[in-house]
Amino acid sequence: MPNPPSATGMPAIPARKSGAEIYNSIMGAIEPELTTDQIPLMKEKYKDETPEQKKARGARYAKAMEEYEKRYATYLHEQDAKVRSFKIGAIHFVEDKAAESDQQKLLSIESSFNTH
Amino acid sequence: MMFHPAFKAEKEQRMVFMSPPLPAAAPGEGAAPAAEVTDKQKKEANEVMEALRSNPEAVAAVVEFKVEEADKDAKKFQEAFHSALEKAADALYKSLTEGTEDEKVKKVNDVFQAAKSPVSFKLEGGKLVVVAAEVPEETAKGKEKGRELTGDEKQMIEEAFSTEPKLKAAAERLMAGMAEDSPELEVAQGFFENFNAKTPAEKKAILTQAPAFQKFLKELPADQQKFVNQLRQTMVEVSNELTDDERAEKLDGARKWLLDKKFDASKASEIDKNLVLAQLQMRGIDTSNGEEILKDPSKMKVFEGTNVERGFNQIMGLLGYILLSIQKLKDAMHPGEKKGPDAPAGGKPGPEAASGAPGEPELKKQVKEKDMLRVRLERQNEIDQNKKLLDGDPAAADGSDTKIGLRGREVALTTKDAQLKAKSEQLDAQLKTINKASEPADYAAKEREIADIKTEREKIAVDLKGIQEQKTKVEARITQLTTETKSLEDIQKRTEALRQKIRDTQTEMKGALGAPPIADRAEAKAILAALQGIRLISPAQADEHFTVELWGDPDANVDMAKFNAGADAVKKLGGNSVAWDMEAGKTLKDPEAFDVSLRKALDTLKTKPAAAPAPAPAA
Repeated sequence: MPNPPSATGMPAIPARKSGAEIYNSIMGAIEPELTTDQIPLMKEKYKDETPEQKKARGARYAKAMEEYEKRYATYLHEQDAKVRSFKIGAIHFVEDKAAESDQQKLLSIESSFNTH
Repeated sequence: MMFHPAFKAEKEQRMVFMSPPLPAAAPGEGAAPAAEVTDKQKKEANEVMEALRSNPEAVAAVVEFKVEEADKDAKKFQEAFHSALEKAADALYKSLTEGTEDEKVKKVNDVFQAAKSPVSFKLEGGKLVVVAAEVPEETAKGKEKGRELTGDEKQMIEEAFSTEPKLKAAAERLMAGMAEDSPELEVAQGFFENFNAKTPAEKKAILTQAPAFQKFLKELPADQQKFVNQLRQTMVEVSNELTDDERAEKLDGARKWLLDKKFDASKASEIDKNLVLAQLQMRGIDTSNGEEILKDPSKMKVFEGTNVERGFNQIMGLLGYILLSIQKLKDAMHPGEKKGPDAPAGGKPGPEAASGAPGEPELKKQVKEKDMLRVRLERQNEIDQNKKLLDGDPAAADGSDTKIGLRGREVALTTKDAQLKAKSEQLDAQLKTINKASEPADYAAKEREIADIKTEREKIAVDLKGIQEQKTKVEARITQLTTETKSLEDIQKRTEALRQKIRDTQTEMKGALGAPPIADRAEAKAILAALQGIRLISPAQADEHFTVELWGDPDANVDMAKFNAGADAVKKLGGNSVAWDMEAGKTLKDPEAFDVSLRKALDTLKTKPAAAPAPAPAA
């Protein structure tokens, strides 16, 4: 989604997310157990699992990682589009402002003509 | 970079290959879009998966790497935003011509503050750099915070959620955030459609069974997950069990409301019927037999279920009402573009469409420029006329005042006055030699002549004063007109220079944006193809030389045709082909040059336009 402009046209820079936030927001929707706050609990949680259970868990994690890769690639594309949109918005904003200030000066000169 | 810059151990190097490779981006460029995962990379990824399957505890290391990677990419994107902002502010700063440096910086900051942007700038090394913050994400998503609800909306929610104050508060928050075309609306609509696509049994399971809820959650995109998690939390807090009195109150209230509306279902449109049903749903009524209850309100019954189910049902009613209301408004404004809440959300315009109606701003600028030109011509004409007034008009009649101009007249009068003065002095001298008693006639004649000269000189003095005053005024007017005409020229030049600068930047950006991602470029593909099957082992593990090994199968041969194609691509991009001069399985002659050569080649790809296709040979 492109950065929404303010009422007067200047696009807003979104606040930077940390790597953990980005990772968790993607992985949380795939496999909540692999979010950064859940990983430290893993050892205790699975201390009594059987080899078969361990294997199943490993398969689950591997699949989750695959899905994460795909969604992360999509995330990067979206971020790229946001950057492009922001650049274009910023250019338009500056162009308008520069034209405004010149027009004001012109108006003030014209009005001084009209008084003579 | 293709290779991890620190050439880490084998396992981590596989991680790098597994991730879509991002060419090194200059600050301000942002990370390049991800390349497609190649077969080789898939193979490497599979090996990682195998490792995870046999040892799930290894996932901790993988996660750590992924978090680091995401952090680096986030930093690059943030740099890109800041860089774009700095360039924009710097362009504005350079367009200002009046004031000191500090005043100009202040003016730029004022412009951005007036635009409600929290960033500010300072001058560093002759250009503006960002010093202050970004917009918090919640504010960036929608600068208009929850709108004020209308009286009717408040009353509707009050009546529908009269027995559930927490649910009522959630409903008010939900409604306040749902402005037309707001991001929240899009998320809510997406969720609404996804949920309503489920069968009644599935919906019940989602609302009452944790595994079913989790499964449903995983199907949703991240923003909808957040939305529904927030909603669900509110439902859990609604802890009422429905009493018989409450059931009766709901039913009576809903029936009365519908009767008071005098709603004629036989004549109403589909959207109006659905709006009424949505409002009934908000009041806790089971609308699964919607058509029936619209015709006969006595057939209404209360929605039964757990507190979560009931609360959720009511909130879904509210969502449906909001979405339908907005759709009805849109349909009324654009009759040909009907899209209901059931339909997928319409495509958003691309970022390039953000600048408004093309043509009108340009037309305004053109008109203003014409005015400017007209004013300049008029003023120049006035300057010319005033100069003729001062210095004379050669086309005027000979001997006329117009021909010689004010300056000429001033000189002529001054000269004449000097002549008259000299003559008067001469006559004075002569008078002294005449005896008045013996030559009274001569004496009187001389006196009269002196008096005439005096009168004439006084007249000349008056004329001269008038001419000099007029001359001063005209000269001042010429100076003023000249200054102002020059200012207009300056404004036009500066505006044009800024426009050209912006056009150049746009062209540069379009070129950069239009260029295919590096990984798609033919030269990059050739290089990457050549590198398939080759990896470098870190110095810590290898001998004193870098040893090039073949990937996976030490006995396999490198595809030399591909390898040579890669070497050619590097050469064309200015890379050093010496480092590529090696044979499979042998020690790389110059590993540093190999790395430099590769980096240089990839850097050149970023700045060089894609090679034009070779012209077809002449027939």
